[in-house]
Amino acid sequence: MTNNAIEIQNLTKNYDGFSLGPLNFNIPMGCMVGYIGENGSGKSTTLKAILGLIRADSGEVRIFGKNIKEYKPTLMNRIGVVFDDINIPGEMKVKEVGTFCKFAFDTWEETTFNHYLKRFELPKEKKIKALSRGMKMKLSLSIALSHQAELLILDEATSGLDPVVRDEILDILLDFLQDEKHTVLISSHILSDLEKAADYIAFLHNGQILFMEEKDMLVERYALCSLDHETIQNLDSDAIVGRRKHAFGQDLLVIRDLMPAGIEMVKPSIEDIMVYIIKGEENESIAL
Amino acid sequence: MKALLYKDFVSGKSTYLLVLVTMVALLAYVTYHGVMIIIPFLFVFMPVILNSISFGNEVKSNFPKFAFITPISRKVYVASKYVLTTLFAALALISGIVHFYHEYKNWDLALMVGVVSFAVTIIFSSIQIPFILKFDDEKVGIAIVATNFIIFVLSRFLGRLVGGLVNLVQTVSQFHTYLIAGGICVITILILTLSQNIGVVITKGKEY
Amino acid sequence: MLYVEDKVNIQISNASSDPIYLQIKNQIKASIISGKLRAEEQLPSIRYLAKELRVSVITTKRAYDELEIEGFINSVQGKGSFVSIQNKELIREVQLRKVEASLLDAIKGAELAGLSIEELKDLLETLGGVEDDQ
Repeated sequence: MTNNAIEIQNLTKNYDGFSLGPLNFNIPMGCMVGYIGENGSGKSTTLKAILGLIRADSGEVRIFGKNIKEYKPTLMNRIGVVFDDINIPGEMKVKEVGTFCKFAFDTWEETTFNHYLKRFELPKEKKIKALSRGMKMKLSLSIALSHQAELLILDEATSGLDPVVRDEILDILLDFLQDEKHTVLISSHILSDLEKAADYIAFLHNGQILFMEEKDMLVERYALCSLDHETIQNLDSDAIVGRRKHAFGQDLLVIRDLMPAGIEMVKPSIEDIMVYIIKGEENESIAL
Repeated sequence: MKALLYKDFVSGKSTYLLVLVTMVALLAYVTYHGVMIIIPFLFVFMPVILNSISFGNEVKSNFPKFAFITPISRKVYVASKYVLTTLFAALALISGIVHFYHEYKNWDLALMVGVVSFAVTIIFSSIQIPFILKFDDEKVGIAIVATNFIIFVLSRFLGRLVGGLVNLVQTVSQFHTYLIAGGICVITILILTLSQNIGVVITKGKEY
Repeated sequence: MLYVEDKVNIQISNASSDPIYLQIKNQIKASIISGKLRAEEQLPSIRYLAKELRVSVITTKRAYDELEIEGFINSVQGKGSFVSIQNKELIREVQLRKVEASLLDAIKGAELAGLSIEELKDLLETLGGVEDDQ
């Protein structure tokens, strides 16, 4: 029995002017994994390929050890998905969506669904077209959590929502993760509030995974500091990962262990790491 | 399957009601004027119109993206698109037989009209559905207009077909009538199966 | 009866240069040493702790793993983590902390009385001698 919720091998997908992969990584069971990268880096494409919504050019995706191509319909009972939009006809009422799901999922739990509708204050009689973006997202999440899913996949689901809602969602996700067989894969270009609870961060850039690592390791390995140009001259060049030059000095993302003692450093956020690594790369390409 | 039909029903309730009212009105008109021949053909065009509306709704909300994150397979999704058509085809068959038998008291003619109405209903939608599955978003409108035009052109031959049919029935023996009716049914079902398979291939190749 | 939550206070500071797992570990350790958490008492599960503190499960697991290696707690598969019982070093450390605390009190008192550390040492030796005599 494998301990991975998702296993991805040599996954590739080519479009005009963009190619994804080959991707090789696993999502361990019982974890929350943040899948981050800029807009257009291929996050959504990866998630759609995992879910079989698009056909990969090559490679294999297994969920709970089963090939998604062969077992997709039955596997979907065990996977809850939340996209940035709900994709349900606007004429349908909230309660009708529940009935649709009752017919569609073998594992549907009506009481759970009603519980979430109440918790999120979603009116049953309201039409989908009358719901706000936040409410649509909450309805999507309610559906995802009401068919005994063991894996939640959220694609940019919380982007553009207000901080109060995002906070509520984080609580729900943490509740979901209380079961050690449950796994969350969440993609975003803004992770600030969700990164706190993520176990792993997979960083996608230009269709390639730059790293997939424990978040704690990342935050411990890197550090931020502000220095003047002169001090930087004396630094080990390997220590500098990315930099932002300004008129009065430089802000650096550095590798903590390679820095001399006595320099004041602060912990970076995952967003800091993301931005500096991308910028660092751009600077290099300019130098070349 | 049940889920998809339920969704089609609730998301298009007002449209279905309108269609029903129109049909009842047309039926009343047709009965009043005694032009029974139109009745089976009412059923022929209904699914074509309803399919256009149902697909229009789906495209607007990008519904397949939601359907395919549930255990609904692409095969079932495509199959569900033919349910309404098959239902109307059955209605066309029955009404064709009933009305023409009532009118002409000629069983052979009634059977042939019924079977032809059945066949035409299914064939029209079988041409239409793969087209609207293939072209998405803004193109779907054009696809619907184009297929409807093709179907319209085809229907011009229908009048002649019925005329020919009456002659045919008069010249052939009853045994031959059954044979021809059976043949038409087999060909229709083959076309339906072919269309469904094309639909599945198209849907599997699509990205959501 | 007090719940475990009332006995363990954990505050996470993002400003601190200590990694989060270390902050958690040190604060649980402090609760054990101070006697707030007694031997055999059950600790919150790693997942519950992670949820409440809004940190990753890996973080809380690492804190517990290190506490286990150092002998402060032991984890029973499927049951959870408990404060260890027979650990001489641990008990010694607990005692040491108590002694330290009392001595700190004494030092404060001595400062108020204007006694130097040297004088305090003498006093300690004398008192120690007196106790031996008893």
